[in-house]
Amino acid sequence: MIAEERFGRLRAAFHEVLEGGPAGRDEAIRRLSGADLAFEAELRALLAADERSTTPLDTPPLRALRDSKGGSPEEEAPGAGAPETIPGYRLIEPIGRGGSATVYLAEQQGDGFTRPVALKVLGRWVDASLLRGFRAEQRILAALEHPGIARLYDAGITASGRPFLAMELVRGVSLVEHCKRIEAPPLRDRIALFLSVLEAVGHAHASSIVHRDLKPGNILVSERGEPKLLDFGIARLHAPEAAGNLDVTETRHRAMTPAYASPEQVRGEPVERPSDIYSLGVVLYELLTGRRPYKIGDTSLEALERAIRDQDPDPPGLGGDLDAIVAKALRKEPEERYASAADFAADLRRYLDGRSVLARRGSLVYRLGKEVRRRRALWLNAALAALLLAGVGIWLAGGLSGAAAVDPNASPWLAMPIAAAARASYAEGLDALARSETTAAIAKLRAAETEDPNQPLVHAALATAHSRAGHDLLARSEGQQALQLALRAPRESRLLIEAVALQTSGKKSDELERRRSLWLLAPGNFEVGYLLAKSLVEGGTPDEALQLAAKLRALPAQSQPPGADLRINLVEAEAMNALGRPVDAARIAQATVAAAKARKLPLLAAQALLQESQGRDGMGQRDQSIPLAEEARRLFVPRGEGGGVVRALNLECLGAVRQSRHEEAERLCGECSRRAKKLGNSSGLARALSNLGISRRRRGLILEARESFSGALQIERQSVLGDRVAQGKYLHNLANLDMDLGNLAEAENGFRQAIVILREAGNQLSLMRTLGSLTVVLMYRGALAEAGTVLDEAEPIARKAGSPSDLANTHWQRGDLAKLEGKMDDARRWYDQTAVPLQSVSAGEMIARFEASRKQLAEPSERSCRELESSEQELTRLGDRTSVELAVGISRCWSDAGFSAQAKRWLDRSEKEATASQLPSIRVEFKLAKAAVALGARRWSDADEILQEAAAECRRVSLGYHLMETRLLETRLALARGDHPERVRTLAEELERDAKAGLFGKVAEEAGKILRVPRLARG
Amino acid sequence: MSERSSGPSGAETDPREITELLAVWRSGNDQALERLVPAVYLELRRLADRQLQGERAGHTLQPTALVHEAFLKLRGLRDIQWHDRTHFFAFSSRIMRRILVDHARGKMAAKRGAESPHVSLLDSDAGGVESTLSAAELIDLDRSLDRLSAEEPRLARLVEVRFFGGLTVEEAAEVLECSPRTVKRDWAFARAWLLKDLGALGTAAPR
Repeated sequence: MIAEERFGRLRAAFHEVLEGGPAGRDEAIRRLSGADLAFEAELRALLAADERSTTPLDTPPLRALRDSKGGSPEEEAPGAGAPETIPGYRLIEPIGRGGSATVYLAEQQGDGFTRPVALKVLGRWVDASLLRGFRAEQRILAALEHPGIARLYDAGITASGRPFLAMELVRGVSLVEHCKRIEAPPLRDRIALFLSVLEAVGHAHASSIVHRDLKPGNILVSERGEPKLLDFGIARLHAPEAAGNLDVTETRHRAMTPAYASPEQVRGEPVERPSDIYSLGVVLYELLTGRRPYKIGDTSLEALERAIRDQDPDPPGLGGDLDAIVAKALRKEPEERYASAADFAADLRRYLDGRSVLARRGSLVYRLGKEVRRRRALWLNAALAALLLAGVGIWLAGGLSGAAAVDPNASPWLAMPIAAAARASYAEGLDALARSETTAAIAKLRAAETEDPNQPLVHAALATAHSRAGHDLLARSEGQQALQLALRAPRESRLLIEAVALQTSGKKSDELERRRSLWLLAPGNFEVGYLLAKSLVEGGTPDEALQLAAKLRALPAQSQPPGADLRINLVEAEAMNALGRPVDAARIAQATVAAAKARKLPLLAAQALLQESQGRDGMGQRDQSIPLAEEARRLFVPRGEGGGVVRALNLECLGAVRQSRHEEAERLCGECSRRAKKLGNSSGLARALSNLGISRRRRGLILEARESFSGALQIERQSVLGDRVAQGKYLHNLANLDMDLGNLAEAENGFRQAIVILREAGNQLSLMRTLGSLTVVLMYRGALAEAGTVLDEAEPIARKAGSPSDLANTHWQRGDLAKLEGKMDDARRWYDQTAVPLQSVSAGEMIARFEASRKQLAEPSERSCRELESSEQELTRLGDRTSVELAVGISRCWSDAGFSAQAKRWLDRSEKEATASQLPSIRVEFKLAKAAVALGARRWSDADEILQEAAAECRRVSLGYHLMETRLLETRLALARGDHPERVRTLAEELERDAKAGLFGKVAEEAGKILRVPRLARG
Repeated sequence: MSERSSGPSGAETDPREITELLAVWRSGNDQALERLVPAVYLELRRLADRQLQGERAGHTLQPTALVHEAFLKLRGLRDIQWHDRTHFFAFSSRIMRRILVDHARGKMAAKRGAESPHVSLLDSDAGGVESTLSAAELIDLDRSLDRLSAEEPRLARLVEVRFFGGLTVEEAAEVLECSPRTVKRDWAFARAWLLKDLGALGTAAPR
């Protein structure tokens, strides 16, 4: 806040002074600054900067490119400006020039002495804090005195603000060059030379000074054949992030030479003496063989770094002892290398003396241990998973101090180093995620990305952050990048990245597979298990998620991060909702909300509120579900949790739909789609449209509903995320509309398409539900045998999932099927099995409908008709659309039981709604009821006309089952009207044959009854 | 699994993604630009790599030519109606910035890898320059610009289009939807601020 204000004040003052003109400028500056001297200094600095006429900023680089074409690049090499002035030195001539430094031959002019020096001017500018650190470091280095080490005499800042180093001037050639000369020294001499190098390095190490950039180019051999090390300890002075903190680790982006870098250096870990030992190992290798230790196919930096990390060096082929010595220096693990330069030297001397070398003794043990270590590394990588996943997971835990928990520096085995410059931002980003400050997290992580653009961890974290902010597209894009980058990482690290980043790619089954693998690698790791559990819920196997949740709960307390219990609760509530156990879901979620609030974990509370809301909705407690979603939304909004807001709005919308508050639903869905669109959250947008479609369908606006569902499907299809499960659900919704319209063939087709997609996506629950819907179409169409087969596939899924409402549904359908087949006892048995699970979840509306369905099994009688009437009352109270259907059914019941007046009354009551219905099944059923009444009243021609209309409609929309019913009524009409027995018999025989073929046992039985009427008997 | 089995071609940016990101960006979500630039940039890099294959070593990236060519070739971008210059300029300026800074980073890294056996105090120069700024300077400028953006994003955008995009005052005014006078004022301040933030940059030898 204050910084922002200060910037604004500075800006205003800057303009005011400039516009005031040169006269009285000084006074204006003082007036605007008041007593704030720092402000005044800043303002003056700005004004001074403004007066500079030609700065690089005034020439856009691209124009410069055009203007300078044809110029040799060398002429514009950086640092090639006018010679620097450095007090106390006379610059004689540049003897070398590079991108980040220019080296001059110079003369240091002291009190009564002059000496030639190599003066290196770095290409960076520094501020005061860097300068302080620089000087401190320089004092340490200046104290380093050894004949094998080039002295650092002095260091400071040039007049133009660049750091410089004054060093002993060494004339010579590099070590490797020296050995390549025509009269190449014999092996023993080369080793002897190397021993001198080791001696010098050992001296520096004894003073706790690490070179960090040992390479042949830094080891010069003088004309007298003595090696001299250059740039000792200089490497860290190059590191810009050393500003004010010289303990900061160098990284590959800063100050090392990849070919000679140690594995820990490549990984960006702290660099200590063993790293120098490793680099010396590479130097020795090259010195002795003329090659470098790694064979790599391509020459990219990445390939080299990968080789350094993962690949065993090529055996030098110098014989067992020397090979062992080199190999020991080149071990991947710092602790496996020679403990000191002196040990290294001692072993080489043993070799020269023909004694057995120490390196060989350890090597067998080493080789045996290696496999074990490799496995441990694998495990550790899984632990790294925990670390990273903490960034994903702990946000729910809220209060946790994220930075401490996810500090990447805390893990020495980090397989994918994050550039030092990016670390702080990365840790802060994860911390912000943990504290649910999504917007801040994105900004921080973005900063980390700028510093280290190729770090998959950063991209994976960004994917998570965007996903929470509801930016699905951005999340996906970041996730993709993380996945791409992870391809270069070692296998385990890749697995880890994939387990996290695939969540954004819509490849749910791949993600699930990776998470399973990770769990196998790290079976006691809470975060890994938690991620897997969430995947299992989303992947349609919530039953497994519940089992896993129980395991997670049983983990020892020290393996559980703070808030772990509540997060397990949340997964369980989600699983219960997915399983259609809303009572359990609401119970668990409610307790979680209370606990999360008490522990001040607002986001966790919001997530739990959503689950409770969904549970209450499933229980038919809509009046409670909406306020819960609203409360969740109020918690999400201020925290930038766009994804949560969209989910909450969608739930609110759905709640309004269920309460038949359709205007409210339109408004909420509209608000939800606007937000989702703005976020680029296509899945949220599609869901909002789909909810709108559900609202429209309930109002009977079938065409409008189709538009909504088609829109949702199209969005999901075109989205790069392409959630297959959602696509399957929208196809299912569309097919439902075809069902409503009586387009049974299209409906069947739609369900089948959805089934293909859902089968492929591997979401068992959604698959089972669509199989259930297909069963209904097949029953309507009269394909009863196939309906049975489909149920055979659906039922075990429902049973395994243990989802009461789904299990009830399959049993219910089994009962319906048995009823159509005329197996009334079977039907009763199935219905009995339906009631129990339904009551256990108190799904009010469903129970009422089921009860009505069960009552229709009974033989039509006054009593059974009265019971149906009470069901209808209950359903009307619950606002269920299907009560029209039931009203028509009640009318049929009365007329079948012989009570024409009652039948007529129900007919009149439902006429308006039934005839206006877009649903052909309802219209046909109404007509059949009407025909039955006409038949009872002996109004033959009315009955005939109505039945012909009904038959035509059935044929038009292929309502196979209703056509059977129509034909049965036609046959009865022919019989009652006293038509010629031959005609009646023909009608009945054909009906019996067709009904049997279609397995319509009940109809076939009724037709058989007619054929047994004495009047129709032949002869 | 399927993702990886597709081999190197799997690394290509989905053109649909670029199109979608563009649409989201133009509908007012600035976050999308943050993703769009790297996505397009990766694609540009790939194109550049292809172009440079078989050409002589040491070939230096020619950003202008590259970007022009790339925009023509880039799937996804080609199909976009760049009817608003505003978006196009803002976009290409950001891309330029990314190219130059990344190239500078690469150069710095290459230097560390290179060897110069005789005068070891030196880092050898990989050659090629496309800026009045050195690689290190460019990277510094990039950081300063981020800091400026944290204070006032508009000013940083102005620097992007003026400096990296090479737009004139009038063009910049159009892109930023303000008067040329405001552009001049803002530019004066942003320039001074950056020079100050960069420390000695202003006193570096003029060219």
